[in-house]
Amino acid sequence: MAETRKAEHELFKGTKPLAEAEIGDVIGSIEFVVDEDLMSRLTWALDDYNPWYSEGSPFGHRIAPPTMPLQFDGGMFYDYYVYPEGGSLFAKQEFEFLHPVKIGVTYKLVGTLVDKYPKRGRSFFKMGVSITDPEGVEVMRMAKTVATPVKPVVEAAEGAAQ
Amino acid sequence: MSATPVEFQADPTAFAPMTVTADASLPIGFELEPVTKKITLDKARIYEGWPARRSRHCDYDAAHATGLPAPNINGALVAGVLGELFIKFFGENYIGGTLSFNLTRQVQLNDELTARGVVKDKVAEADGTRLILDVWLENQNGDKVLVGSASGLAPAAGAAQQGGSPVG
Repeated sequence: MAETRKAEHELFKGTKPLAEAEIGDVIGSIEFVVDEDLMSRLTWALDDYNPWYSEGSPFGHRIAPPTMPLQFDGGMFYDYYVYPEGGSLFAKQEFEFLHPVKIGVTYKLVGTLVDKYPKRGRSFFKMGVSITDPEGVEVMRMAKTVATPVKPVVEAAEGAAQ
Repeated sequence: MSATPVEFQADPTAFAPMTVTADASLPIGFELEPVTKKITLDKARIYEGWPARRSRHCDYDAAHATGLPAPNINGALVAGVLGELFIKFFGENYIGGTLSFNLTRQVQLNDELTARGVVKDKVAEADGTRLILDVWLENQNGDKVLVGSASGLAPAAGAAQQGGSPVG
């Protein structure tokens, strides 16, 4: 008998309840490389054939599209925190671009909880992200805010993010 | 018998730089040339790496397991449309720039998204003039699915660069 397919959120590995989230929690650290396969998929998915991505750029090398690192930090949050019963929304995103992300280079991405607050029936959790190159130079800063539950419940949210 | 001449068609996906890019002389209220993209199931699957990766953003079973009637589009893919507008407008000066947004409405399969921007403010800095933009994405019904802001330094008038012109 075939195994029932698990919902995507059941595959997350997080163990710390969001109710216990504390500002300063180191959510995770990963290394990533923007490789040819990923570049092909992203440019095709968006029909964005900017020659800076495929041929070369004024920076002296090919670069990744500016929002590309969103590919890598998405699963990190719920590989640390338990996925909430009420579901989760990708609510906000911030980027600060310091240097281009190059193709084929290994970068390190570190995520830390920098804020949490209740608002309009949901709890919001903001993960600050720093991306550094192999020399330790910071190339990007990002912040991703997720919100829970999907359907706002005023009483529940007021407590969770305090 | 003479051969019928072939009418070669233009590639509708070919890269096209913006006609007007970031420039310190642009007035407040200037509207950027929009970028429009249709997000189909095929595009969502290519982005997610389906079938190896079966997320709620590209796979019907995974979407149903999450309570969704059909896959909805990954916010990271949606953000890519805005990213294209951003780098096309600011060119090299996307470095030193910022981009932030709120996702305000789910994007569904086959939605046609248009990224738009308008110059909201201009701030003098030591290295030039920083343009502050209101940016947003709207769907084919005119509903905003993402709203935010962007900034970047703009070269002096007449020295504008193109975001993504081929290099030799």
